[in-house]
Amino acid sequence: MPTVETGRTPLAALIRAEARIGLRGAPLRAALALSALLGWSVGGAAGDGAGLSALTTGDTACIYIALAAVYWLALAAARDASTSTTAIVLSKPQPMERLVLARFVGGYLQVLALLVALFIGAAASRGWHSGSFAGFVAYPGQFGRAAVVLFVASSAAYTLALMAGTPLAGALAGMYWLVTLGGHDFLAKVYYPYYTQNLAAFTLLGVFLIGLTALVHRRSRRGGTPPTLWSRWLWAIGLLPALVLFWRIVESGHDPMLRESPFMAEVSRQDAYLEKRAPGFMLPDQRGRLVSLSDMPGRICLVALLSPHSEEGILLLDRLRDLQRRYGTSGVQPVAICIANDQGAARSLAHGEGLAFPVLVDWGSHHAPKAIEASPTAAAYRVTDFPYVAVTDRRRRIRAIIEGISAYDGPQLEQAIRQRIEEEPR
Amino acid sequence: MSMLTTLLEPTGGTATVDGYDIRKQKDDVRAILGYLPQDFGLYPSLTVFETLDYIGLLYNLKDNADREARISNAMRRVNLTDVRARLIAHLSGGMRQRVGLAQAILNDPKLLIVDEPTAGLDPEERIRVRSMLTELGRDRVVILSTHLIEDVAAVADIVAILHKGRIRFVGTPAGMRDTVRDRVWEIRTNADSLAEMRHGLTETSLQREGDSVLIRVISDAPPTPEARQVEPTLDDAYIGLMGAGDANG
Repeated sequence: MPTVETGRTPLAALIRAEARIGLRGAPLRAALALSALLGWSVGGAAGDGAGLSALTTGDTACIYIALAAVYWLALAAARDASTSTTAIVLSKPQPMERLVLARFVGGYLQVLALLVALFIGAAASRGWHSGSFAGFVAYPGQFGRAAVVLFVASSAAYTLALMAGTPLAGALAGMYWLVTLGGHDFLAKVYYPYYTQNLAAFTLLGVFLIGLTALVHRRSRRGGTPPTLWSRWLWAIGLLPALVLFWRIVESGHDPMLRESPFMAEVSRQDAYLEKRAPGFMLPDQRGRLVSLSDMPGRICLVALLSPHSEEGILLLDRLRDLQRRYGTSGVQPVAICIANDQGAARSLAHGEGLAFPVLVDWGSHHAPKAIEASPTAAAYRVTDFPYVAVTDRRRRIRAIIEGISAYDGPQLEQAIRQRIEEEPR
Repeated sequence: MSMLTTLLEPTGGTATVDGYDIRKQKDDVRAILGYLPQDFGLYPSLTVFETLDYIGLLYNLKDNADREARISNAMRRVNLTDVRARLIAHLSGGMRQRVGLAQAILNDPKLLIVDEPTAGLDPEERIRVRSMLTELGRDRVVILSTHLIEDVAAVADIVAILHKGRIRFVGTPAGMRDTVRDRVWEIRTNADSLAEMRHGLTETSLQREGDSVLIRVISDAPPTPEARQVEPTLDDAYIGLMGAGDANG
């Protein structure tokens, strides 16, 4: 009688073995070193906290490490063909779906190792250059975002390469990535896997791809054995919610390329003028709460619009925090609005810089050559240059507008605040 | 062979391995099967032990201690114990072939299929692999595919000759030799008359000895008055079974 044990090898053991095959190779070790160096080069960003460093590192991972993931997983899919191990592996009593899944997860873990190296390099650089660990809490969030994006890139490349039987097919995923990098002028935001608001939908799409691959790849190898339960349904578990989420993103979003939200369109139709009432808005802050100017009655509001990916933006946020500390008791209230396609950027910066005031995200932001066209609030406040600060009086009328370098450097902003306090003491 | 190992889907017909249908009960077949392909690779970044450990997992050997014991046993049988921590990339061709054999016997298979296991090996390794196959064949069925008749002579209890998908012969090596018994002749001639001598004969070997040439031929009757009838070898039998045209072509 056969002496082989009954039952299957635990999937975790298979995954460990698959991960080890790649981790032991010289190419991955070299890639780990390069990844750490890349992290070091991008991690030393400006700011009192690590907010911008974390955000920049996350963005770097979503582009460069994701492209590496595409390459790596496409090769992993074709590994048996390239190493001539197909006959040995496929003659063993291991169901195809388990082989497909274990190899994918093993490859993905290798990619995650690159991500860890990148973030370690970035955090080390940040610590070295700033001499402090302030705001390091922002790294885990960006790491998580990047890990999800790498999952999406990995699953797409792996699926394409495995189904087509050649790693070249996996390059299609890489091409998609490159098109998104250069396609801000013609692609809607929903096509971008690395925007925080799209992560859930793309993750489920990745689950669908892996589930589909597990179910159909070399299905004749099963013979009369039915596919395992999870492989029968994983694709559906991924596909159906993904479609719903994509539909919701389009339906509830604001994007000139796809569909405009009536609410955001209304916001953008306002106009900011000196001595006139500041345009209104209602946007989510770093904790997800909706915030509007009417929530701050009787305050001297500093409405700041900024790009969270720029050094100027982070310098302004740090300045606003300083001003709030000094003049908060006089009723000065900063409100920052992040103009960024990625809706998670505001939260990352707020955590990284330790900001207590509302840091809002303008979810109607989109790529545009002019600042005034970059978002509904930017249009309403007639922004010509970022960063931008409008100082209101206690009745919400705009009393000063400061743009560009003067917003975070020089005496203009503080003078305007002092003037407000003098004219309108509490 | 690829069909028996479930790697290739049959286009027709049926086959069973130990009662398991190779079409419908593929995992059952795989569980009792050990397979060493002719051209195979291994993961160069893994050590010998890690390679076998991975294969053990593919065989569903889920108990760590049991798997390790089987790996140790397999390495001992193919004489790899001393290089268990060596990377596959650093192994010689013969050692890689032995790792291939070790992976094939890791599950203590009832049926071991080895495809051209001695191809490309130096004589010393070839003898070593043959000895291993002989040893492994004591307690299991071994199907050995080879073009090297000396492999068959050294290892096989039963021989099947396949030609263009059809079985030409099944039997013992002795029985195979008997197919040409009393029909094998040895002729000594010189190089000048060799071409004329060979005409119309089924030649099985040729050996030069100084100015003369010794050829073996298959013929129902003595091809020349000087021809000497000799004991047939498996080479003679193989060529006799395949037919002169096929064997020489």
